[in-house]
Amino acid sequence: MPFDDYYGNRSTVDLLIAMMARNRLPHAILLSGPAGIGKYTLAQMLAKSVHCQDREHDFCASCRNCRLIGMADDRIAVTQIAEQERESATRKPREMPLVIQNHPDVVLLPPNGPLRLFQIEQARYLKQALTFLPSAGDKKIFILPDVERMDSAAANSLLKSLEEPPSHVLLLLTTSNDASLLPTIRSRCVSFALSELTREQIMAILEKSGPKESAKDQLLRASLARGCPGRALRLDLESHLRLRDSLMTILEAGAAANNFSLLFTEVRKIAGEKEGLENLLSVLYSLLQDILHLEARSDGEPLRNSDSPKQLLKLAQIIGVDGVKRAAAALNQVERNLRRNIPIQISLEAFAISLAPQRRMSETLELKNS
Amino acid sequence: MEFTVERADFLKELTLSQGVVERKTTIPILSNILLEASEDSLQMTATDLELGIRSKCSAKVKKGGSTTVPAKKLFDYVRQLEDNEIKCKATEAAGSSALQVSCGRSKVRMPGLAKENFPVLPEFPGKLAVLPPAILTQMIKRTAFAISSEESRYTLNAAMMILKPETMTMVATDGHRLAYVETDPVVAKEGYEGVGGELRVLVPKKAMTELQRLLTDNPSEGGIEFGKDDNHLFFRVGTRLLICRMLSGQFPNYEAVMPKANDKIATIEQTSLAAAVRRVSLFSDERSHAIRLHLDNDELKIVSSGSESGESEETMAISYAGGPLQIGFNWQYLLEFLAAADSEKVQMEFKDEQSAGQIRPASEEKLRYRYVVMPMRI
Repeated sequence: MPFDDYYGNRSTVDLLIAMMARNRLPHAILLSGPAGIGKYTLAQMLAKSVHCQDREHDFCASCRNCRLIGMADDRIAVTQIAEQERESATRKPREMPLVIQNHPDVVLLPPNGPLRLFQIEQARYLKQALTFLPSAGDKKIFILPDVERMDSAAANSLLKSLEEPPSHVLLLLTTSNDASLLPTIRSRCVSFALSELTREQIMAILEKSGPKESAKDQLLRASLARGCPGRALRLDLESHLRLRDSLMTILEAGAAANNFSLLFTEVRKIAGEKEGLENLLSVLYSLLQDILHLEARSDGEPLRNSDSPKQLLKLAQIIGVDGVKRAAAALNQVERNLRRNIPIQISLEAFAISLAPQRRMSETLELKNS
Repeated sequence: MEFTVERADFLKELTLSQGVVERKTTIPILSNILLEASEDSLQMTATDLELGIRSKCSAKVKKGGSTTVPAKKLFDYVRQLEDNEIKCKATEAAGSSALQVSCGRSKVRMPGLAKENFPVLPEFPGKLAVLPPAILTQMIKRTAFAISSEESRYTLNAAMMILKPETMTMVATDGHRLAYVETDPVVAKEGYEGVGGELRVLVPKKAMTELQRLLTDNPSEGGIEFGKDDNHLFFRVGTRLLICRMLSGQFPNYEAVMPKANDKIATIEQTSLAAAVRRVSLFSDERSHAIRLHLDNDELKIVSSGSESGESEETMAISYAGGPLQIGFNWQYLLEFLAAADSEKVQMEFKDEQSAGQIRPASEEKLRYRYVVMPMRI
């Protein structure tokens, strides 16, 4: 039974299976949870089990329908291929809706383009395609991953379709940030929140389908994934560690307020890299979190960056609990800056310098006074 | 797969597939055409998942089989060829298939996509009704232009077809005007075989235009066989089959819209009315497209005025005895009807300036054609 291949969130999966068995699936389902938790995987599994030709309680993953739907299992890859195809098919690729439809009754409308946005053309396509009856079977499924990438014009134009689609339609939406959706979208879907997996579950997934690597790396990979199997599988360990190490240097230099030239070189190095910037914030947060754990002498959840405890410990001593608090606030500012397209180099430098203890200033003053 | 076909036959069937092949979305297999050779014929299938067309032509088949190739490329190539005999051969090498086409001294090799990924289209389930091609063509011509292209009211993006034992009806509307055409029971004698009871289906706009293309170049003598399963409509014309996914939803209650008590009747010559409206329209308001008709004592005055373009006025003699009346219309709606009406004289029926006007051909034989237009307040 392939639903057993889905790790974690058992109660949610069981609930969905039960709904399906009684033919009581809601018309619009919103799956929310952090990136890489398996929202799209679950949506694909639902689509397969609705259309499986050989199902008992579940789907077989090997009949024609399951295979056709399964061709889009790797969403990132199929989106890329479709974008290339669109690029070669038309001169105005932005005006052509990106539609991926390997099975006639399962339509994937992923965010696309350089800005990774859900297009208004896709919304139009959806509204029109909704009205056609399914070609076989009794459900037509539309999968809209990452609906937070939809601007308000597209979202508003879908309200009517989301509220009252024709009875043969099943809309599967996923989001990693359901707070940023329009409340009108959220209230029109039945929403299911997926929560993080345990480290053991992630280890089991890595054991089964992860890259071949040493047990130590695997453990590190699992702990860096923060409960999301997709993140664990996709993580480029080497570049991640490189990024982490430079960020650690930056934190240390900033907090100790001693080696600013080293700080600036490292920042420039990070800003020069094209890729991996989206990870930056999460890596920084994970470092801060570990420092907090160390400072609190907590021995519950093991450290995320478990491979370099010594350096972390040193960092923790410099920064301290108060420092973490200030750093988290400053990091929040960096996040906001990123969204406003402020160059990463500037905001990262500002962040690191703001870590420098302010008492230094007063201490120097006192020294002068005395 | 290996076969030989006549260029003319092949080209004719390929032309039909061009309207169906998808260009708007990014599903690669849909821009391909499926070629299947068996016994002594070649079957071609194209689809955009909402509409599909399957047709056949005779071929000398050496070896049966099937493949898919880009439809547009194949069509463009075959159109350019000069010799009459086209040889096709599918080759499989290392998991990728290709089609070799040769004709006289021209030769080409086109890469194909796996046939397994081509959508499976349903088979014709058997006929429910037989429709006479000439009549259906005329009915489509008289209604298709009124189909809405507004996406928010999706049930209006199709025409409603109603089949009864003796008659068939087609209705299309966009909320501002409505075109209704019903066959006279006389047609039943000309090859119309209806259904028992009543059948109402929505035919999407694209299916209507493709059906019309299918009928304009129709080598077979017989009628159109109409079929239906749970999710699809089928129209079979000779060896060609048009398969159309059905639309869901409620078509508006059009009977309530048809005016019942329009007693102010004007009879007007169609071509001169069309010409006059066209001239006046040049000076109408560019956004509203409004023109005004003044009717009084056997005279029709058509007036338009745009804020920038100026004013225009035409008078013509008509037959009218209903008392003075002023009514505004969108000139496009009038012209579209006049172009489709195909009658020497048209009859306009009004009640007052706020009620819908009805226009119809003054004399009719096989078809009862009614066109309802909402007036504009100006």
